[in-house]
Amino acid sequence: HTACDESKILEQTNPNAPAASTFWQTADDAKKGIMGAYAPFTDIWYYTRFEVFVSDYRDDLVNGYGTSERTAAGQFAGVPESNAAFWVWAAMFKGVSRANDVLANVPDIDMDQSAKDNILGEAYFIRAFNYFNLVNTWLNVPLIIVPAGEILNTREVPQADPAVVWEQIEKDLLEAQKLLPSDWSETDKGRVTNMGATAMLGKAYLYQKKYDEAKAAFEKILDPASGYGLEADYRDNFREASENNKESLFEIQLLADGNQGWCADCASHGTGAAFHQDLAPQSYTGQDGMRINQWALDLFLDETTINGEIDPRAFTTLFWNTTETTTYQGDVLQSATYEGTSFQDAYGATDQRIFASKHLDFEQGYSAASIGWHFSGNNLRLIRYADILLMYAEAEFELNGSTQVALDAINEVRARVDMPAFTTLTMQDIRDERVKELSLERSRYYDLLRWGLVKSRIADNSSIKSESGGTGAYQPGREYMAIPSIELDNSDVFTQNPGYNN
Amino acid sequence: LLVNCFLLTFLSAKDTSGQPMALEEVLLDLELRDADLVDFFEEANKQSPFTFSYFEKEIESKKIGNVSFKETSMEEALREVSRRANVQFRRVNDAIYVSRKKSSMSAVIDEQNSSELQDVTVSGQVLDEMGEGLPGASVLIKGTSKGTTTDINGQFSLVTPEDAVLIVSFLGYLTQEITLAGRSELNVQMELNAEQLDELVVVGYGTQKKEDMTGSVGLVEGDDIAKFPTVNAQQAIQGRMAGVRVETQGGSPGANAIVTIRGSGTLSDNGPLYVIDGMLTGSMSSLNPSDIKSVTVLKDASASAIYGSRAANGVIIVTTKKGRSGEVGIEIDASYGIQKAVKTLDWANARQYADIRNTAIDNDNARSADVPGFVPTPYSSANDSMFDPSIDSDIQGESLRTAPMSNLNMRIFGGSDNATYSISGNHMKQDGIVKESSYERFNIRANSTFTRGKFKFEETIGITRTINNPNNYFNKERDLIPTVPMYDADGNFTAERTDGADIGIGNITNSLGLASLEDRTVTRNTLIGNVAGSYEFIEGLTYRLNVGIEAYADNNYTFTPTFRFNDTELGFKQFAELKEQNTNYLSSLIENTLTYKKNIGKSEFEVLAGYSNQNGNQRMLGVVARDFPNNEIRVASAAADRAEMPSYDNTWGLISYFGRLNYVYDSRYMVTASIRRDASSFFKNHPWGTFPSFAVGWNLSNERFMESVNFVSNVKLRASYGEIGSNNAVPYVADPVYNVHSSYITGSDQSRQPGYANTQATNELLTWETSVITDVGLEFSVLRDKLSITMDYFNKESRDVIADYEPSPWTGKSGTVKRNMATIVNQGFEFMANYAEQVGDFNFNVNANFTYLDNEVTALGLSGPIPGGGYTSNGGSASLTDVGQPIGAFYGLKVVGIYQTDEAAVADNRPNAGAGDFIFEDVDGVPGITDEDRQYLGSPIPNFEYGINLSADYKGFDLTLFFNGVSGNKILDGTRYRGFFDTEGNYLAEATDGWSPTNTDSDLPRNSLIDPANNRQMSDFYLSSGAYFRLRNAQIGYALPTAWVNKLGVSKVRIYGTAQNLFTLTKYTGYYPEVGRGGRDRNSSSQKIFNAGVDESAYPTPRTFMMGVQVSF
Repeated sequence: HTACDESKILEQTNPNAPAASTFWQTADDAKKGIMGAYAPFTDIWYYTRFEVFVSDYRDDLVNGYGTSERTAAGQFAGVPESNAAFWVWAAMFKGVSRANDVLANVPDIDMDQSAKDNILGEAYFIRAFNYFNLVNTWLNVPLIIVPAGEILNTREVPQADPAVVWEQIEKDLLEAQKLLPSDWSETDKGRVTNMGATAMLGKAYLYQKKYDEAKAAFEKILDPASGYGLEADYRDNFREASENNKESLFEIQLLADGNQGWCADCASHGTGAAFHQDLAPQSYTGQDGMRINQWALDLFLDETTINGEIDPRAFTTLFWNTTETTTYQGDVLQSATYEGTSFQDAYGATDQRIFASKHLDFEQGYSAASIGWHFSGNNLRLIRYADILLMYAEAEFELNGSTQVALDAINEVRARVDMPAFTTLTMQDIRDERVKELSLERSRYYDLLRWGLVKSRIADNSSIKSESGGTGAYQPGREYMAIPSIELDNSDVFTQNPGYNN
Repeated sequence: LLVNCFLLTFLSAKDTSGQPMALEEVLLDLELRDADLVDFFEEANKQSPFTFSYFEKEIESKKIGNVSFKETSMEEALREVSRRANVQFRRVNDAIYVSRKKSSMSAVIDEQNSSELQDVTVSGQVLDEMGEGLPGASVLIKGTSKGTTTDINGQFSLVTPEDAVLIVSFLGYLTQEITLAGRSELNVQMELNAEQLDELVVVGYGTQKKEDMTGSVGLVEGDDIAKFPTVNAQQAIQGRMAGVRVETQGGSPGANAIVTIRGSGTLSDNGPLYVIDGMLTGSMSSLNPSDIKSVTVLKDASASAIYGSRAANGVIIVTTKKGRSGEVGIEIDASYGIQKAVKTLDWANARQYADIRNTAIDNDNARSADVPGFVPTPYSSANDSMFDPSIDSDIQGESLRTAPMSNLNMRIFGGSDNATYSISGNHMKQDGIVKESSYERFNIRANSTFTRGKFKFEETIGITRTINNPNNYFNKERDLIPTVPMYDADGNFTAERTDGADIGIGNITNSLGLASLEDRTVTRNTLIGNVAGSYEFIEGLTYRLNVGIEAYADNNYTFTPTFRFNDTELGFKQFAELKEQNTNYLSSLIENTLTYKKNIGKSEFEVLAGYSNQNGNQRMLGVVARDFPNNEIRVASAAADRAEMPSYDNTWGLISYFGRLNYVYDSRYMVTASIRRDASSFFKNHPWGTFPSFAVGWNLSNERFMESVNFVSNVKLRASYGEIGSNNAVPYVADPVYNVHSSYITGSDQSRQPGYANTQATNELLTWETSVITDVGLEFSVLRDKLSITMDYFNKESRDVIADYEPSPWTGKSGTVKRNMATIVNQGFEFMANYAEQVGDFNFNVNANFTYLDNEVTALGLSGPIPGGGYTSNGGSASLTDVGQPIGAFYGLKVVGIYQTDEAAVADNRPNAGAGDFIFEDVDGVPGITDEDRQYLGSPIPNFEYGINLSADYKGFDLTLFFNGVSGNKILDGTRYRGFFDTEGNYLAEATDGWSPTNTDSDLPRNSLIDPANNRQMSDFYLSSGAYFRLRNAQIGYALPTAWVNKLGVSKVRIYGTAQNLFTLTKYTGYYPEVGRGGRDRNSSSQKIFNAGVDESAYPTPRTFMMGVQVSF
């Protein structure tokens, strides 16, 4: 028996799936690899469901029912053992890990240079995008920029200084901006573009209060040459028929194709939205659900359109007890939910609770939220042109105060929904406009966080979380989520975030 | 037991005095048809003074055909016979010695020696080591060929020169020379010659003299296995030897058994390595127990390290029955019997059930009565206003039955000096005592050996087909309750009240209906066998090539037709569903070994060197299909929805080099050293492992200073140390791959794009588990070898034990990864004794063994404590494997009483508890019951196991009683959960005795549906002692007198009756204390080892009565 025979017996390669050692050979492999890096966005643990528990469920609009471990973070009672926290964290790191695999392997593939550049740009974006979420949600996270297999002693990997993470985010987005195309072919629509990367870069600057850099980045998008702009109808941002429109800079591509599996990365894994269960009005959901705090509705009702009617965005965003209507884009808007049910029909004439309406897709014909999981294919827009305008206005305001530049930006957003133009601006106007325009679009909590308002708006205001026991669990530091306990168990150097060590 | 057997046979012991006659003077007159030599000798002996003396082996079955001598001289007759049978004769005085013809010699040599000295008659007795007469011993006059043999009483009488020296010999005894010195009477005390008794034990890659063994092995003879009609070969070794635990997985027909040798040194269900006639495999369940000649269990490192990376959990070597030279033998063994449940559980009848529910609702209402606005819960109408006394379903009673079992074995064997063969067939069929379950097995096994000069060739092949039909529904949660009918008016299965009564339960099924409607079989066709050739180059140096193969094809088929028992989730099936999987497995082994045996002076050497490789491939294709045209079409292609197609293809390979040295000096000092180097394809970056062992033995009884010690014999001390491995992994475990299902959506048409991702964590550093075993043993015999005893102390430390570990999520990988992490120590003491006695025609033998074992996890590494042992689908773990505890130790609260008042519960800081609820022991000092009050409640692993085998025979009768037992373990009885707390099934009748204000001395909590005090959580309420002592097997047989059966042309007929589990002493509350590793898989690795001792619907073990007949031709 020769050595050759021996190696044949010992070196068995797995025929059930492509071996890591033989992958990354062709342009096709590169594309499959980058698709794999996008894939976690549609995990049930990420944007198709669980992400909402670490973003909107923690903000000052959402008053979650019950005290499940999913809603616990919303009342500052999230614990390191909480599955919800751990799952979202894990899904984000899946994106990081796969982006790292692409960045490590694709450069060596012999393929068309621009196609290669585009894919590398996507990987930089995906890594930065996930780290943006991670650093804003957990603050003290490990910074992993090489394939996981290259890290031999995982117990020694430390949490990075958040400043270093921010630095990496900027660096990655600058790379992405350089490498990404301005547009994709029809079949590739939905993949991130260079303006998508620019939008994230501007947002990253804004979050770090680097207003000059933020403004400069946003200006590239506001330049008509970018091809981006507001949709005429506000509602088009939440309709399946108008996915990947000119307002959308980055959106999660969702598809309801009958698969309802919760298993990420399996053949039957659902890729439709499944957060409806958590956003739906009470009794339309099989989950705990939530209601919206009164102040949000009051904010909408504080002013009227140029026609003296309720802000049309209120009807898109909320479901409440009103018989008033607004005529918008030729339609009569009214408060209604699944199957066109009015609030009074659903809850009686006296119930004054407010529920969410945005993202519930009842216009698309979904009859109730309790029919199952992953049933909506409506894409989830995460950065859109209106947000760019508002962030731009904010950066300008922070730099120069209530200038015409800032006014023009915010008024463009207001004009689309028939709201009267501002003539002067305060920071509160900008903040309020963001609530009206962007509520339930996964940014409110992070806005409060970067403005330093989490404690005063939420923690000190127990009624915001009255449906799940108030905010008594708050401790300084709990603005950020707890580091999942499994990470602490598996590490010799990780430390728990402040506020979680008893 | 292999005895190198040759017998010098004298035809008769008779007085050889008298005047010798010349061969020519003796005339014969005889006529024989189709005669062989012995026939001739018998006849010639009758007609002459001559005694014929020969080695049986030399002249066996020499045919001489038809002979006819009329007044023929003996000399002439002998010449004729010599020509026909190619033998030669040599006459010395009255003895004629027969041997094979050597061409140089004449056919008949007549050496009539007349003695010069005066002859005397000497008589006496030859005694064995126990002082009893030794029949058939040879007494020869030294320097001559003259002699005699002793009679049945060991007596002899011989005419001999007065100064003669007598040589007294008998197989197995030391030959003695006695100088007469004028004596005419003498008694000769014989001494056993242990060397000649050469009991050979099958060990790894060969055999070893038992006397010279340094390792610890256990041995079961095939005769002991074949005696009882066990279905499974693993069950057949239960209780037979110390240190070997056989956990039968309940009493299901064809149920597998898990074999653990010297305690679990692994956190998996990995079992021992099986070597079946030289083929290395993972199971012996395909074997027909009747085909087994012997089972050797290699327990310590000295014995097992030669099997390297697969031996850490022990090695079981199975040798099947072979042919032998001689006439064709035919054996038939047919038996038939019935099985019945040993015990039934006392479930509530309809009235009791309704009462328990109603009491529970009363109790729950009373508890909440003072809550403002409280509305009392009403009774379910089926238990109250609409209680229907005509409905009283007894699902247990309907499901159990008396079931038949039959077994038929046939074997044909025989051979010549140069070739032997054995062919056997078996058919076994067992219907389960639970309806809708059965098991059937067909076996054919054939083997043969061929010898030519220095070349030897052997092969063995076994073909098995098993058809298993398991009933997985019996005794499960959410089964039929007594107030709901089991059959509808047409006699079809149902689970519905047609009168619209509220039964109070949302979801019930009909387990017997489900088992009956569902169509399922697990069929396996197995082929296992090997061919081996060996060649002896020079004396003692043998090369052997062994090629083995194991192949099986599985079909696992389940078809569930559409049915409707009721409208609940479990009660109907809208679409028929087919689940079918076909698996093909092929493993091949090539082994090259070279052995060299050499004796130099008092030193005996045996050196073994070997190289082997083995590989295996398993390929599976399955389908899950739903929605068929009708319930009769049960093939996937007809389904409207072919939903899933699970499949895989796994290959593994192993390369090994091994060597062993056995050295024995003067039968006193023994040394064994072995080493094996294995490389496995499982461990990509660390394929090679090296497994050395070293052992010494000291046979004290062969020392001079022991010569005068008479009370004890065969004293041997031995000690061994070694490291052995376990390649406890699966193919590709260290091989990162890309998942092909990580798709994402793009495009205006929003379609899924294929996405690949490295999703599964792998540990490329994964390597062997290593067990370090130290063993010290003592063997000795007393009472003139009637009683022999073996004792062993062992310490097995298993290191780098592989456990599943959840990797850091920041790696972006999911699932668990196997890592070498834990350390487990097993320490124990083993004792085996055998006592044999013979009194006249009465023989009996007692064989007893016991094992004391202590299993402890001493390190767990990263994985942390491992929960396991789910006993209900409603959550809850019964066991927690942690450092300092045995594997799968039960963990929960301890019940110390029942609250008699609500105030007592409040005082204990248990606001939700009240009168009638459990008082749990509060051990953490923190008020109230917290997780910290959970404690270890016992081990599922017995620390003491024993077996006693009694056998006796008297004339044609024989009796065997085999007892075994365990103690020190606990069993979790899942029926106590269902019977007292689960609200979605029947209750145990005992629940009527729950605590109430009028029944305050009950040990059972009050009935409740809402259980606010959480009485149901894991506690010792569910645990029983797992100790049992039972009569595992009893058999009585009678062999018909030979004279009768010979007339029928049969050599032996034996009829027998057997009973299994005739009695079992146990305190266990469930069906039977043999529960195996049941439970639900609660831990991520789904290893059943963490569920040991958890009886969650284990199949009841039956009591079996069988009658059988054995016939030999």
